[in-house]
Amino acid sequence: MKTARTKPVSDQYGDLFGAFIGEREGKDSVALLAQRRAAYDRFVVAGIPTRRVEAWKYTDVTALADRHLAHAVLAPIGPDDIAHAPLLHAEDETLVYVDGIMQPHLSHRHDEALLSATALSEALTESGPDLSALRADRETPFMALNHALWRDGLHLHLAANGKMERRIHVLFLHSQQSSDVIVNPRLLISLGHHAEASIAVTHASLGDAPCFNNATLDIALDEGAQLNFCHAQLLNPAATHIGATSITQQADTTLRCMDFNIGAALARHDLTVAMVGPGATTSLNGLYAVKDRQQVDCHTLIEHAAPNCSSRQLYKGILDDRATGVFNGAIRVYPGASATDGQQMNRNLLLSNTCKINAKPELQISNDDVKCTHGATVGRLDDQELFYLASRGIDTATARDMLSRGFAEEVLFQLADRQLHSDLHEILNLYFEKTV
Amino acid sequence: MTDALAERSKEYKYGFVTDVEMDKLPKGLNEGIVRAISARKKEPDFLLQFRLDAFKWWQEQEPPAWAHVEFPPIDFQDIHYYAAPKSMSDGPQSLDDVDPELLKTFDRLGVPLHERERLAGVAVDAVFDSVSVGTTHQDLLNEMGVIFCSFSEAAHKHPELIKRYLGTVVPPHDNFYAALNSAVFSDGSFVFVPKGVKCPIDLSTYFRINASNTGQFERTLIVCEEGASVSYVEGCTAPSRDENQLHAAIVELIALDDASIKYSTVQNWYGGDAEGRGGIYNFVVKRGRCEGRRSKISWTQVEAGSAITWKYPSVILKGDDSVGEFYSVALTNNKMQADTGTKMIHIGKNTKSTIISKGISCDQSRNSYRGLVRMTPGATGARNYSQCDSMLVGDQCEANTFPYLEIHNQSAIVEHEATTSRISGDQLFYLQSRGLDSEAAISLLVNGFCKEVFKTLPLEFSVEAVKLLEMKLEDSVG
Repeated sequence: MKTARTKPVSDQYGDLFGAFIGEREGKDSVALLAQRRAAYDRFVVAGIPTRRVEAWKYTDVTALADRHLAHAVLAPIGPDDIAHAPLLHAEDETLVYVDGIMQPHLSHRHDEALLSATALSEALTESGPDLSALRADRETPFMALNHALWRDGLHLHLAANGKMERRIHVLFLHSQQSSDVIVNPRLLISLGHHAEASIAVTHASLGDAPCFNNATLDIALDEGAQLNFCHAQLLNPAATHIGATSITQQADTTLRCMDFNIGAALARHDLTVAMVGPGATTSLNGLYAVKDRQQVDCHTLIEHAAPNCSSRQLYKGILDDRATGVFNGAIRVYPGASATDGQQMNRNLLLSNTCKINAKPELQISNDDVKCTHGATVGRLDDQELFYLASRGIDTATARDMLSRGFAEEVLFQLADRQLHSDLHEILNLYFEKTV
Repeated sequence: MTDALAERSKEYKYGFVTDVEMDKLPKGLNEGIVRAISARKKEPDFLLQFRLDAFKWWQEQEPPAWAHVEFPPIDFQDIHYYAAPKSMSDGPQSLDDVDPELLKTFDRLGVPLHERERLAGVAVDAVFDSVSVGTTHQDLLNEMGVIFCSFSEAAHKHPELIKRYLGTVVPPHDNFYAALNSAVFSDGSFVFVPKGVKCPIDLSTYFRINASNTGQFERTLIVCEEGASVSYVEGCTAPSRDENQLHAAIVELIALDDASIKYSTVQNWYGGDAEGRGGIYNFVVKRGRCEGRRSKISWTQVEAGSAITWKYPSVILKGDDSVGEFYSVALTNNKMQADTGTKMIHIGKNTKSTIISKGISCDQSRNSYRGLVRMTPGATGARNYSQCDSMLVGDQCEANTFPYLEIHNQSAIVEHEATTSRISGDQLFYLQSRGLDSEAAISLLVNGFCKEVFKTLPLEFSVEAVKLLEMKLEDSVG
């Protein structure tokens, strides 16, 4: 082969891991320490994927192989420091992390009886779940790295039949650090059978320093559970974000998901929804809006592994300046998943002549009793629509602004939560103010 | 023919073997073999250098593995790279000198080589294993200035044209199988349509693999000068055998200003039996370049055979206002695998491309569409429309769609849509309640599904394609 499929990682990762594991001795169970070591070994063996690996065809992350990263050293942070953090509301169940470290004094808990929050290191005793086994077959090198290095991992559990009225908000913040830090948010969320909740997970920055945010998130919905889930990546334009979110749906569960990506210099999000029980439904809406030299790469995989499941996907992208976008959405229907209904739509709006979009909507069908469609479009603002608005006396700049916002609004409109809707709307306003 | 073979050839009526004495080079591939092939064909030196350069590069490469197909590694040293009927080695001067056994073979295949017996309107170049057996209609074509002959003949008679165009669309270092072909290609067809000439009849090449343990590596080159146009059709069959045979061809098309090339394929290589034994590995590189302004290249393919089909007939839209088209029906049954589609590379301004792909998968087969649409920064005002529909027949088959859209120009408009469906019980019931038997009902539904593609084929091939699909589907839909 002309070029290698992976790039070996530099020794500094060994130093990072060595320092970290030394610090965890005594804190983590023996089993967990062993898991971490094994995960780190897997990361080193795997290396950083190059663009020759199909899943990374359009996004080059090899610079991470020898980037100089450090562990975060946290200075005390008070409520005033995070007053302007996004999506923060006093009435929410809020859990705040700064640089991967849990901040109980910044968090707000209202209903601890219904929603339990357990440190993962405590949950992972000898008899506890083996986190590395959760997704053994499709672990990326970055997930292995996350498992080796996560600090204050958290397991949120909503008891069976529990109905959580308040929104649950997990906020991962990055503080202003002089050095380039690596942070590994790790979250496991489980909803008992017929439980209902609305959960938002946000990644945001308090300053403008670079960081490598390597997040892994698992969500398990037990039979009949209903979840409104919002994932918002709002990091500063110097950050690197690599996130993997895996959602497993048992029978008759309902998932409504919003995937909002607007921040970071380079952001990659792998969102996997596995419908393993019959009668599950998923509605997945995503928006990515990037400019300058930002790169965003959204991968979704919807797995229909049981009969009578349906999925709807609407992903929209707005690109400006020299930004690059990737949308890779796959629907996979397994043998036996009869009466499957899967739909996916990806639309992209190009606002400049120097931005790029690479779209790859995939269907992988191994069953004949299916109705699956996907579509993808790419284009600029429609001349006729601009003309129509001009003929109604609206100047070009305003018309472009209206049409671009309208394009994005179709996705935000799917949010049932009005508060979240207005929060994200405001964030999007900032994008448009500097763009159109 | 043994009983087992006879039994099998009921399903695949082209599965017979012709008993002719063969001139084969020994198995294996090395520089000596490459030189020997070139020597057998008494080629000019530039072709030998072309082959050696490709071979040198090929040796350093590993076979690609990214396609959604599975097969055991190919032993490239276990293949005969050159096989020709003995009777051809002295070079027959006309069709009358050709071994009657060979002519009989093509008659059985329904390919008429004797012009007095031919259907009007198609000139045929017949390729048997590594060599061209004969080309019909030479007089008419000569009159118009159209060159249509075997590749070997062209290398002798028109070396300047070969030298100028060979490898300009698919360079020898393009990929593993392109390099392999460039090193060992044996024969194929060469078409040259001079400025302003509309080729009066359809040109056709019929490829036949006969010998065992051989690979077929043909090379087709079609050049249309300014304002010229041609319609070209290829067909292919092979005997039923339990071994897999490699077919790694290259097709290069070049269209200058205002030229138009229409390339149609009805591919019916032996696809293996119900257990997945045998069949042809059809790993072909087909690419056209719309070099000139307002030029047009159109690919139509009906892929109904081969154990594995792995090819992407592509168009490089370089000239402003040029047009690329791809129409495909790919049917897989038994344990056949197909990973096929197209690439449309938009470089010129206001270029347009259309992709219509219909996949039908039956039994335990695997059918994938993989297509690339790339709008380069210079492709202002370019347009693409793609539609990929899959039909599944049975619950053990697979239908996949892998479109790649790489859009680097704001003014480009790209639309892609794909659907997956099956022949539903409701549809069958409705048609049967109107008095159609189930076969006729299925045929009607499949024809409706593929209509957009069939209507782009030349008439007689369209009829053949419909029959071919009906025959293949007979056992699968019940």
